[in-house]
Parts: sequence; C-alpha cells; structure tokens
Amino acid sequence: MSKSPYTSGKPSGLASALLGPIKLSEQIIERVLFYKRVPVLFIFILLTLGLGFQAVQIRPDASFVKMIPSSHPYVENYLKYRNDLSGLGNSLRVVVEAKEGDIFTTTFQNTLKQVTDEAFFIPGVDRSALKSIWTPNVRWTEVTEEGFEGGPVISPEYDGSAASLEQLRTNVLRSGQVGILVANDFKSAIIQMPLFDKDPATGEKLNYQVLSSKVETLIREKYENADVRIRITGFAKIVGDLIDGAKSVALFFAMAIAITLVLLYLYSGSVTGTLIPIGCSLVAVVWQMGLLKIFGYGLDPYSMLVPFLVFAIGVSHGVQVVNTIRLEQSEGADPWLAARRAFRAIYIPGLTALLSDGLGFVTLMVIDIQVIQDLAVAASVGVAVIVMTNLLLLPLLMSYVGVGKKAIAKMQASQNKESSPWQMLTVFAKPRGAIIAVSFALVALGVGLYGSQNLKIGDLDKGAPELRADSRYNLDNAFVTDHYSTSSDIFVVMATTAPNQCTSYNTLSTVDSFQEYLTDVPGIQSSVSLVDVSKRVTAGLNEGNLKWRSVSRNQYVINASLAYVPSGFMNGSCSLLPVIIFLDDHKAETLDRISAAIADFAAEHNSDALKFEMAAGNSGFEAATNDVIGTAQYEMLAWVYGVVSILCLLTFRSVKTVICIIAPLALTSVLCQALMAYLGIGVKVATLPVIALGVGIGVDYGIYIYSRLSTYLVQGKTLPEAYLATLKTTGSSVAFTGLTLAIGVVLWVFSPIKFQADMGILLTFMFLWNMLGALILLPALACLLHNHKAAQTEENAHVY
Amino acid sequence: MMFPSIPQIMIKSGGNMLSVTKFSQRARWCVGFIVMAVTPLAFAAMDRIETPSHLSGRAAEGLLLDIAHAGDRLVAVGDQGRILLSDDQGVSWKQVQAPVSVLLTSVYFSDAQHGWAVGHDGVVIHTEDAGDTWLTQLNGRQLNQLQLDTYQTLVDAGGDPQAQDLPMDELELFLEDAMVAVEEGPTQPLLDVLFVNNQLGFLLGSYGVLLKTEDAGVHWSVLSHRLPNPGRFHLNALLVEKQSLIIAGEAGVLFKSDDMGDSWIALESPYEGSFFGLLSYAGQGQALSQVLALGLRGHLFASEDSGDSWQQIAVDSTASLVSAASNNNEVMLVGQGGLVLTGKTLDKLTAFEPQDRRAWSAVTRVNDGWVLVGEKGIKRISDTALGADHE
Repeated sequence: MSKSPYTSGKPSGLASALLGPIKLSEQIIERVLFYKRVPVLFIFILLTLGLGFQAVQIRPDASFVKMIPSSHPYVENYLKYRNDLSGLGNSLRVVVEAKEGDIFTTTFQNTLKQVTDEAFFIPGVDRSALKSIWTPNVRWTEVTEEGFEGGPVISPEYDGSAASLEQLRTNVLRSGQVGILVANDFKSAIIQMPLFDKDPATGEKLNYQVLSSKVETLIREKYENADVRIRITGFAKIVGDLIDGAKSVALFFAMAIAITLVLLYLYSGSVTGTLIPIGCSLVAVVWQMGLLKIFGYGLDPYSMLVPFLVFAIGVSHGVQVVNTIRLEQSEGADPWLAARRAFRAIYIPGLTALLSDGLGFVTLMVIDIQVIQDLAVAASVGVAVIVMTNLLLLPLLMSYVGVGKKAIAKMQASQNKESSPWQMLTVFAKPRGAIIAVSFALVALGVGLYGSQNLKIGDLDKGAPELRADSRYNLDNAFVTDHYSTSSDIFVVMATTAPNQCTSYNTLSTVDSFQEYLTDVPGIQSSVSLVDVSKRVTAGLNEGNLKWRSVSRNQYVINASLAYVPSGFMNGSCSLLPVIIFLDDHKAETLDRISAAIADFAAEHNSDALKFEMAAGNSGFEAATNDVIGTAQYEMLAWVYGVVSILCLLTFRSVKTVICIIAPLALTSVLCQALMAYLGIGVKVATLPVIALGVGIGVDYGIYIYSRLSTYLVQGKTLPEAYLATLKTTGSSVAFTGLTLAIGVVLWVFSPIKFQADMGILLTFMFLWNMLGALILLPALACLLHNHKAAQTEENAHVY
Repeated sequence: MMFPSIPQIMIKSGGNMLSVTKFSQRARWCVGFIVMAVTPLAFAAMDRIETPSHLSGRAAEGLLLDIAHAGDRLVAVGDQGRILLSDDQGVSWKQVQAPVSVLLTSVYFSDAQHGWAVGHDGVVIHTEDAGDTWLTQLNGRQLNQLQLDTYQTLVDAGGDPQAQDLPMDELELFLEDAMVAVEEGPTQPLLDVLFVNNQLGFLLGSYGVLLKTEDAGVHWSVLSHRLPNPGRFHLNALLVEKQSLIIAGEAGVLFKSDDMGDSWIALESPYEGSFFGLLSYAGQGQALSQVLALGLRGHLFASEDSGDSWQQIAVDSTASLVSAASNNNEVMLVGQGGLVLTGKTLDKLTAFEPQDRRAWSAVTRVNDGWVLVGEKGIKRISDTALGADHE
C-alpha cells in the first residue's frame, strides 16, 4: 500500500511504459468524477447498498477439504474413496466424567442414559451406529461350554441397585470396552456419535455449526453440574469451535477501527479527514465481502484476515489522499480543486502500488491449497475495490467537505518547521552511519539465518493444532488421550483390491504382515484393520483360545469370522480395507518417517490385486499438507521476490536500486523465519502466506521512499539532504502506514484460534520491520552502493 | 478358497470403469483384467510359510503364546513367527529370526540346545543351538501329503496292524479328509509340541491331528487315527506323567497312552467343556504329584491316578484357565481376562492383579519369579511383587 508519498502533481519517477494505459485512463476518470459528482455518488451509494445486502448474508464457513492440498496424491486417493471412508472418524465423542468416585453409581448411570438419549435425537447423528454402554449394540460376550453367551452391557434387569451396578461392572469388563467406551480408570464413559456427512433423508450437507451448538446446548449446558463434567471431541467440534472463535474476530475488528480512528485524528487533526478515510475503507470491506458472497465464497477462518488487511490498506491510502488535500488547501485551493489535484497526484502511484500488492497476493496462487488460494482471491478482490473506494470515492467525498481550518493550520506549521525529529535518521545516509547500519543488518542476517535453521514444517503442538493448546477443546482431547486407549493422531492407509477380494486370505495375510511391519516404525503406537477383526473373531469362535488368533488360511473360516464386521473396516463392495494407524504425535519428522516407511512397503508389495495407498485420517492429510508446503515455501518465495524485483526493475531500471529496496525485505523475511523457529511456530497453511503478504505490502515502503529520494536527488540535493526531505514528506506517512497495518493485525494475537494468533504475530512483525528496513537500511544501502557518485558529483545524481 | 461369483462381479465392475476412464487407462486395465481373470487369487503375496519373520523392535509387546526354558535361557514364541530370547531370566529380550511368519503356538526344548516350535499352517521349526537359528522341519503342505500317503497306504493295506479294532470305513474317512486337506492347502494349525527326549517327540493339532517322531523330527508318522476321537476334536495339550502320555482337548476329551503313543484310550472326562492345559503338580504336604487339567470358565480338575479319575477344584473365577507352571509346591495358573492364580495348595489359590484384563497364554518359572506371555506380550512377576500383593 500505497502510502503514496506524492505530495505534488508533478510526474513522478514511477513513469514507465508499464504505466501508459493507467495514465490514459486518468484524465477520463478525473473528468467524470469531478464534473458528474452527483450521478457518480449515486452509483456508489447504490453499489454499496447492493453489495452490503450481499455482504450481510456471508456466512462463516470452514471446510476440511479446503485446508488440504487437493491434488496431492494422498488427498486424491482419499477423495477417490471418500464415500467408502465416510464412516471413518467423522464422529463426535461425548465424555461424561464423574468428578468424584467412579461411573458405577445410580446417579452417574442416570445421567449417562439421559445424555445417550439426548444424543440419539440430535439431527445428523447416525442413530443406528450411536454407541455408549447404554445402547443395545454394545454387548458383552463370553465363551461357555455351549458356545458364545452374551447380552447388552446394560442388562434388561438393570434397576440401579447395588447388585445391578455390580453386574454392570462385570459386563463392562467382559465387553472389552475398557479404554474405548469406558475410561481405563472407570471415572468416565464415552458416547460415540457417528455423523452423516449428508442427511440420508434430505440429502442436505451436515451443518457443523448447527450441530456443534446443539451439542453444546442440549448436552454440555444441560448436563454439566457439580457432579458431572462433559467433554466433547471430534472433527465436527473443532469446526464448530473454529467458527465460534472466528466470530470473536468481529470484536478485534471493532477495536482496530477505534484505535485507527484515534491515531488518524491525532495525525491529521481533521474530523472529516479522519471519518471519511475510515468510512471509505469500511465501504471497501463491505464491497469486498459482498463480492466474495456473489462469487460464492464463505468467510472461513483463514480469509477472515483479509477484511483487516483491506481496511488497513484502505486507511493508508486514504491518509495519502487526505494529506495531499490538506497540503493543497493550505496552499489556498478550495475543497473541490484540492480534491481534484489530490486525485491527479495520487491516482497513478496509488494504482501502481495497489498493483504491486495485488501481484504479491497473486503469487500465493502457486500453492495448491484451496484456503490459501481463496485468501489470494479475497485479498486481490480487496485491493481492487480499494481502487474504487479510496482512490475514487474518497476524493469525491472530500471535494464536498474538505478539511477543517485547524488541520490546515497544523499542516502549514509543520511545513515551516526547521528542525525535525527525522533529522536523526539522516545519519544513515552518511557513509559512517551507513556502514554501521549495514553491519548491524549483516549481523542480524547471520543471526536470522542461524535461527531459521530450526524452522519446522507443520504443526508442532498436540491435539487440534487449529486451536490453542489450552483451549477447552484441546483440554478435552487431552483428557480422552490420557484416559482412553486411543490416540487422536490417525493415519489411514487404504488397502485396495478388486471387488469382493478384500477378505481373501491373500489380502488379509499381506495386510497382516504390513501391520507387523508397522510395529517397528518409530512413532507408530498401534494399527487396526479388518485383519484384527478376523483374528479376534476366529479366536472367539474357538472358545477364545489365543492360539487361534491368526488369519486362517481357510477361506470359510475367514468368512465365518467376518460375518459381522463393525462399520468402517471395509467398504460395501469389499474392495477397500482401511488400515488405521495410531501415532505418537503429528510432528513433521514423525509423519515423514511413517510415510517413507509405508511407501517402501507399498513399493515392494503392491500388485494388481492389492495396493497400499496413502492416505486419509487427520495425520495423513497433514503429511500431504507438509509435503506441499515444504516445496511451496521456496517456490512461493521465489515467485514473490521475483515479481517484486521485476516490478522494481521496471520502475527504476537499476539493479542497485532493486538491491536497495529488496535487501531490507529479505532481511525481514529471514528474521521472520527465525522468529517462527524461536516461537515454535511451524511453516503451515496459516503461516505460509505471511511472508508473501509481508513482502507484497512491504515493498511499497521501499518504492515510495526511493522514488521520492530520487526526485530530490535529481533536484541536486546531497543524499543526506534529499533523504531528510524525503523523510519529512514521505517518511511520516510510511511510519503511519506501518503502524496502521500493524494495528490491523496485532489484535489477532488474542484470537482463540491458534493459527490466527500466529498470523497476527508474524504479520505485525513483518509490517513493522519492513517499515524500519525501508527507513534505515534502504538509505544506508543507497549510500554505500552509490557512494562514489554521491560523493563526487552530488548534483549529478541521475543514476537514481 | 472358492469364489464362484468373482468373475461375474469383476466383469460388471469392469463395465463401470470403462465408461469413466480414458482410453489409455482403459487399455491398461483390460490387460490387468485378463491377467486377473485367469488367476483371480494368485497374486504375488508372500506366503507366510516361507517368509522369514520380520524383526521388530517391539516384538515383545505383541501376541506371544508360549514360553520354554532352554537351559538358563528363556524362549518365547508368538505372532508372525516371533521368537524372543532372554538370557537374564526374562528381564530383557531379543528377537531372532524364524524361517516362517506364521503364528507360532507352542515351543519345547528337550535340552539346553535342542528345541522345536510349532504353529499355524502346519509349521514345525527346529533349533540345535538353543534358539539362535531355526530351520523348517515340516509345513502344512508336507503334512497334508504325509497324511494322504499314510492313509492311502493303510487303506490299500486293508487296515493298521497296530490298530486292529479300527473299522475300515473309519480309516477311509481319514483318507477322504486327507484328500480334502490337500485340496484346501496348508490350513491346519498345530497346537502343542512335546519331546520326551532328544529323539522322541509328539505334535498335536486341530481336528485331532497327532504326529510322532523318533528321529528328532526328520521323519514324522501320523497317529491321528489311533485316538478314539471320532468327533475330530482339537487336541490342545500333551503331558508326560509317570511313563504315560495324556492328551487334553476340545469338548473335554482326554486320552492316555501307556506305550509312548502307539495306542491310546479315552479317559472318562469329568467335564464336557474344553481343556487347554495340563500340569503335573505336587502341593504342599503332598508326596505324590497329581495331574491338573485346566479348562473353560474356571474349570480345574485334579487326578491322582494319571487321569483315571478326576476331582473338581473350586476356583473363584469364570475366566478360562489356559496354562500353569509350578516351582516346588508353589503353582501359578494363568488364563483369560487377566486371570492369575497362585498358591501352595490347590484349595488355597489366590488371584493376583485381577484388574489387568489382558489374556495370558503361558507361564514359566524363573529364579526369582514368574514370566507370563499372552495377548500383549511379556510380563514378569517377581516373588516380591507377588508376596506384597498377597499381604
């Protein structure tokens, strides 16, 4: 963003062939805008109303598939078998925990029964697969002389008496549900609620937000009391919490507006000059959201960043326009003329700056993850609407009201002031200061490069990485991991066969040896598949004798052992057999090692009849995402630096100049990576776009400072003089802009959503450091690189 | 394995694929289809009879079924051909490779060097160096052929001279079963192995299989038909007691041989449920040992006359008892659902750690305690832990 430093209407150093068409459009637009003010205003109002109507209908949205790289082979495999795998994993687990004592009390069992009944009636729940010790499908079995004996864990005679509770304890023990539906310490029990992705009756997609809030109100709020704690885990709950968390972002937005309002008033001293830029920036946000709604986008927690950026970018442009109008008015122009001159002065550099921002965002499209691409689209749309609202609408509005006398007086005073706080910074435009600044930068670079070696790919925290480690969800999740024999990090390998071959001896015995192979891969806790079902039931059919716990070579025995298969272990056509692997954690190294081990096995054993294909499960997708991000991170850096370098080269036609502008940005990028390593933030979907956003936006500072500087150098000033003049005119707006942008994102640090907080920290850092780099390092580099010329023929500074 | 419906189903699925795939994929798939249609099941799966076991760092955590002493060394066997050795009384274990990756069900050492392990798919493996290296002696295909040859010969000869009263039609049934078994493939699990000395040994298996060797397993002879076992019940355990051999099996069957396995009689069984283990044991104050038979749902019987008569011992559990071991007059019985019973006489058995629900398969005595194997691997219970629990 263009903090356009142009305070006069003179042609700038930005003139280049690239800008030809923009220049042509300028005159036409200026005529229409300032001579047909009422109709234009009317059109703007209509558009704002129309898009506003759309914008209010935009809904929070969080889609699982959008967060994963859809063309990665793992994800393609998953999508291929998605319908067959639908029963897998997409379920909610409600934990009912006894705060005192264990679950074998009448009151606890009453609560558990009521919660089970409640869960049964929540829309979206697959009722036939709902499980708790109170559902009839959870049974105990025992081998007797006559064969199997069994019954529901809650016997029909259950009456809450001490005897029946004792019976219940026995049934629970022999049901094999300890660690699954009943905690290992018998202090809590789980209600497993499998969900339909699509309602089988209506065909409607599951609304995670509605489901999540129903579970909250009908279960957690209703049954949690002094004796009982309710905990809820499952992907649907994560999505629900994400959407709820994202709503709190609205508060941050309000706070960002309020802070900006105050700062802008202090800076401009004008009520109209404060309200109108902020109003226009809000209009930009409304337009952007309305357009996204029209294009069919929702507001997901990732692109939620964009309205903040649009607002901040809009304000910084607005400041430039208002500043110029103030200057013109202080020189005697009336509001209409001042606004028109300001438009003429700002239009071209503003458009160019926005173009560079847009190009920076567009480079994000190279990353094959849809939420990042959506972010790129949303940001580009945002930049485009700022052209309309803050380059066109804003001068139009200002042409009616102008700025107040107080603001004009303030401007005149500052123009005439001799000494300036900026004086201090000119030391960096002299050789000694420049050497110090550059040496300091080199040291920082070294530290940054060293620190960034520890940068990790992927998510490093336990539980749901989208949410904070101490969020209620992650606490609930940790509780389940600690008290039940299941891991929440699941990697699913899909073993595929021809139809009806998934239960053949050859298939099962190969999968059996695959699972044996997995026991030796570090990071894997255990695995489970149809093979385990077959083995257990075969032993069960032989009086529970462990000596029969093997895949039988006899197909009839196998078939008998698989007469009843719990859902999720094979698909309907018997061509798919998921192997569910439980991991110690989801660190990138763990996932890498596991993927590589599985790929080795698959390479050796895959055949036409049986293929081991990766991967589903949360960790499977994470492995795919890490894979894409690992390469995309460098690809994206190459693109974003390539694009901004070319833009600078086209604008300034000097390699040295490109270095002066790009080097500070590169330093910030390296330091940002080191900061990520230091804070334990991995490179992931949420943090990957940060550098592109930071560089795309940060390059403006450099462009404006440098182009202003070269204008003064052409006028014959020495570098320190030219630099001081630049700082007085442009430096303050660069500083103000950096601040505005940082305010827009810094509040995110308080977001309940972990990745928004990470983005907030990193973007704040990028915006502020890029600003400092442009104000300090850029002149120092210019001084050193052009030293001989600047010293010898200061008046002949055309190289700039 | 018969899948009469497979070809039709594959053709149907082929039609679906043709409609949605591109030409090149279609061509490739057609080739694949032809190959598969000809040999629908014969893909290059590893045969676990011939695949050496995978060495896993976590072998000691998986399903283990039996444990034996080879001198001071302990040898445990189990899932996927796992063989684990311990030279420090069961504290630490290392895995050695088996030439097979079937589920090994039983292991026996006739001295510190010579041992045999048996398992699914009719596999017998043998070691002569205390378990460091193993070679296959018999597999299910050879076993099937052996049964077929044996019964063909006997039927051709008009009967078994050593089993005069076995009706001819019964022998023909054995021949028929042997022919079916050859067709079905090596599907038969072996369930127990016992060697009386370095040369003479016996194998028990499912569906009444009994084999004997007199040359350390180089040659085996089939004796299944010598057992009065018309129901072909599984044979689970074998014991040598006072020069007699006793077999216990499914559905309460008990057999006894007084001539080292050449002829057998059925013992009168006190129970119609299955027996899984046998132990010769003398309790505190008892001069003579008695035979214990361990069965389903906490059924425990003792015999003081080598199996001719039995008395039920009351056990406070309904979990199946699977295996037992003794040390002087102290006995430990293990079973399903984590059942561990110890005591110095049978009328005073106490349960240890009843809350640990994993199923046990075998137990053996070591210097300072007991080593158990089962569903989730190895557990060591020291005498001190046991004493502490009982106080």
